[in-house]
Amino acid sequence: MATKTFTQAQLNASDLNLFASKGDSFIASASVTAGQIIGCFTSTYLNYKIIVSNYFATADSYLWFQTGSGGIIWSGGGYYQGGAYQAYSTGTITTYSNNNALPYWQICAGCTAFPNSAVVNISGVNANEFDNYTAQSTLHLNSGIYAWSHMGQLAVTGSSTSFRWGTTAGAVSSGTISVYGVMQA
Amino acid sequence: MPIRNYVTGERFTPTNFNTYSINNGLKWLDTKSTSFGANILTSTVFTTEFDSYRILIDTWRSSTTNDGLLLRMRTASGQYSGSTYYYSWNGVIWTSGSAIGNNGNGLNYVEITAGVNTRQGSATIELNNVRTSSRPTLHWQAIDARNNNNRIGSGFVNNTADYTGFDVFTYSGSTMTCNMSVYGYRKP
Repeated sequence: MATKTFTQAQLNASDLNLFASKGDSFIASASVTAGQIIGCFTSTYLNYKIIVSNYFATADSYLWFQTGSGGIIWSGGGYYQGGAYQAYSTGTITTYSNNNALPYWQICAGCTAFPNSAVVNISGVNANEFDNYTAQSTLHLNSGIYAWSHMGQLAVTGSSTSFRWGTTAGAVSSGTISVYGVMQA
Repeated sequence: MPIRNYVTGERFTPTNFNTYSINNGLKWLDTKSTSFGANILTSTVFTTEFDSYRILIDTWRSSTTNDGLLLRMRTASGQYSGSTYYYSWNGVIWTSGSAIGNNGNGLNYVEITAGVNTRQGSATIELNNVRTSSRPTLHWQAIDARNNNNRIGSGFVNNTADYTGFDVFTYSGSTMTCNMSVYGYRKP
């Protein structure tokens, strides 16, 4: 029994404890055009999931993430990233690394022809330690389509309460980014 | 901490309920199981309440050794089998450390994993862009019991039909055993 339809005056303590959130909790969601979600990482959770859904951009590009504290975003160095992408057409795998060469993590592709998506697990935010992430995403460009697995670290000690995003070319056009907290003891 | 233990007699406010109950981020929608059945159909599990879903498949075994576990979308009118499924996956064979992988380029299914009758496999699938008049994308991690390897894959369906469900089935049409649960990611 996962659901119950309550009527007035019927709710009691055991009902609420039974049906209360005990798994991933919804925290916030925004259109990609908003550019950021402020204050979503709190002391309530250590681990988060971010889902990028149905994302389009005006040009072949990458959607990037930066984490930061409040309105102050780390835009400098410290973003390390590596992974592999694999062509649907041939199965050929290409590995890559970003050895602190870019001021952000590249999360998924963006283009006009195909929707892109990403499922990102992120930890270490809102704690005085490095931020780490793992992700699976699509690398769908007008010029080619790939599966993409990657991970990275922000090698800056600090408490990240927020994140923002942008595109490496053109502009974001549509899509949704949602944040969920992973329940902990 | 999203859990709060209420005591009998405590008064609940709408804020309490909104905070501790309906903020559930992942909503269980359906579980289906088959024991030596042909396939699992979920015709109406995708609704406009969610855009993104998680599918968990566990204790999967194929009655035919070296069979594959396949996924295909469904619309209100039935199974969608157009040659518009694109995917690739890669992994490492545990016993040898060798790389393994495969791809599908315009097939009419996505091959999630493979299996045998003697060992169990499993898969966690994240499905996005459903019921949005867009092309569904999926990402998954799986245990391939046929080759003793992991699988990390992504793919998409290059078709914008209104998908209301999906099927999991095997290449051979032979029977399989598995449990499958579907969850929806809450959106505003």
